[in-house]
Amino acid sequence: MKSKKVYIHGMSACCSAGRTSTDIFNAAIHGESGVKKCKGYLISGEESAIGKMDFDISFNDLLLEKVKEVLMLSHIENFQDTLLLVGTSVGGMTWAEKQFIKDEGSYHNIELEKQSMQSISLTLKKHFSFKDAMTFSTACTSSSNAIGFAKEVLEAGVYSQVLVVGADSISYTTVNGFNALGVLSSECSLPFDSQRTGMNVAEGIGVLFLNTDPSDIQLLGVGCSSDAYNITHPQPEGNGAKLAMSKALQDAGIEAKKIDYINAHGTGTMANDTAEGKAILSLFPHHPYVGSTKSITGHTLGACGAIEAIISTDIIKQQSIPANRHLQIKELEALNAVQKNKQTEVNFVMSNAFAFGGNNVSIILKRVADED
Amino acid sequence: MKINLKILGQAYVSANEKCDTLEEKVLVSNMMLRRRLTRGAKIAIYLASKVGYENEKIVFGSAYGEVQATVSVVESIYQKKSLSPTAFQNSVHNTPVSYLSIVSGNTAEVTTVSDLHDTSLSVLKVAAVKALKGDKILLLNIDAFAFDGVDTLNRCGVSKLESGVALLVEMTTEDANIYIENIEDKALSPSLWQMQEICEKSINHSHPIVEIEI
Repeated sequence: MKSKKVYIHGMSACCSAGRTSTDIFNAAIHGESGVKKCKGYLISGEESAIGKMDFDISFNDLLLEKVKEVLMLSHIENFQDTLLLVGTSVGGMTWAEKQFIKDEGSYHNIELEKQSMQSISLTLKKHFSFKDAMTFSTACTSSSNAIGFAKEVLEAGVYSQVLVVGADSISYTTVNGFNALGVLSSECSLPFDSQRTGMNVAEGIGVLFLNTDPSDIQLLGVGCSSDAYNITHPQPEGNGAKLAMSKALQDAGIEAKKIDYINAHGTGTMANDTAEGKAILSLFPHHPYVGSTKSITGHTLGACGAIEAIISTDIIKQQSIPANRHLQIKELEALNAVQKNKQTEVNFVMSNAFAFGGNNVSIILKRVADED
Repeated sequence: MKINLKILGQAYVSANEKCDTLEEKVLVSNMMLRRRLTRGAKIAIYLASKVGYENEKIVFGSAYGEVQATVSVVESIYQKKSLSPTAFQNSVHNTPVSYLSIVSGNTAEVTTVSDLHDTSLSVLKVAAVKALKGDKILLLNIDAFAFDGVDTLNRCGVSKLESGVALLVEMTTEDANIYIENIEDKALSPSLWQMQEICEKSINHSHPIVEIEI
């Protein structure tokens, strides 16, 4: 069943690189990273390079600010007919671990509602009424899976409008966990560079309002796959990534050569970027532009799918592709990883997100021209 | 919208502390992989084997996720001890079905939802929408939260600390004969109630069809 077209209307984002989606896009264009060296997160006492939001406002208040902005931009009065789809991998864990440490290792004051993945949704439901709500938690593809499900329910006419919220805050668990896995860089990440040293844990919020009323950006295709290979390592040839991208193209009903730009998952880890690069080279012989904005935003984990869908939308609207920050020597020479900003025609953008467990999601966004 | 799902297979496990019949040595021949499996992963692999799973799309739900791995990570941070990489990689919510996809070589779409006490309903709703495309879907709903501090957090007085339900379904236009009545089972985590209710009702039907209202 595929009857209705799905469009993006209001959207808003914040992360360490900016408090609005415009700020984030401008930071990407100017190569200004939100990733900073910071003490206090690694239990070893060492500095870590992370993307922490520093706006003198709490994470929950930022969340409400972003959703209110989208409500205003979407020209609706309220969310009463809207399905809320949250994508998060951390949920209330940041609160729970702080409480646990404050209580000297006691679980007595841990509230299930506040520590759960549903905590984002419960926070929003205190301030807005929604028709229904669901929370996706598939690690770093969480909000991409939420976007994919939004497309399914809107196409099928199950709901008439959907609010997707991708939100993850920085926690001791994620910073120390990625450090334990040996993939946390002490410097700002360098996706696709042969000298890259790893990724930067970050936080952020991305909010998108979607329905079937035409707008200038269509959510054209979504593809999901599993690597079936390893819990943390991607399949080395990028077979799972390739399958997700192929499925997205199939869902969109377009050939690979139509894709102008790929917003790569591009974490800056050795394993991800090599596998993803190989998958792109294998599937896209016409060498579309490739970029990762994670050197600007850091890796916002479960929020990255929503935030990068918003950046991709801005790339289409501005017809401008940001360079991969500080990319010097490409590991895969044939990969058309952008090293200078490009002002060029961008009609179709693919945005990738990959996660622990080999969970892969690719989405395709289309510029809607007047003749459409 | 109402979507009717034909139930092609159903299975259920539950134990006060630890399910001890999960057949992991039979189901997971790779010893290194088997040793890394979480309790949730073992339950997922076992339940899938009981419902005729053949690498379908999977919709998984867990309210509390990988509690043992998460507790291990958080206690290490509090004690400023080195984190176990395995505990961290196993601490994400989609771990059980990720292991299931690895063990079975399933490259299909696998998604995970987590809505605390509404988790079971979210699994059913997401699966029902995904079934509209004509695919068979494996639904899994698992919570395994036995750990040393569980009594402090177990404020509902749930006695079954490990439970899991699996349904294999496909969409049908036939009339439903099973309806969700929100039957409470106080021994179980509320996050499994509706899936468990459907599982129990379907066992008594020769041709079970459940109505999911979205």
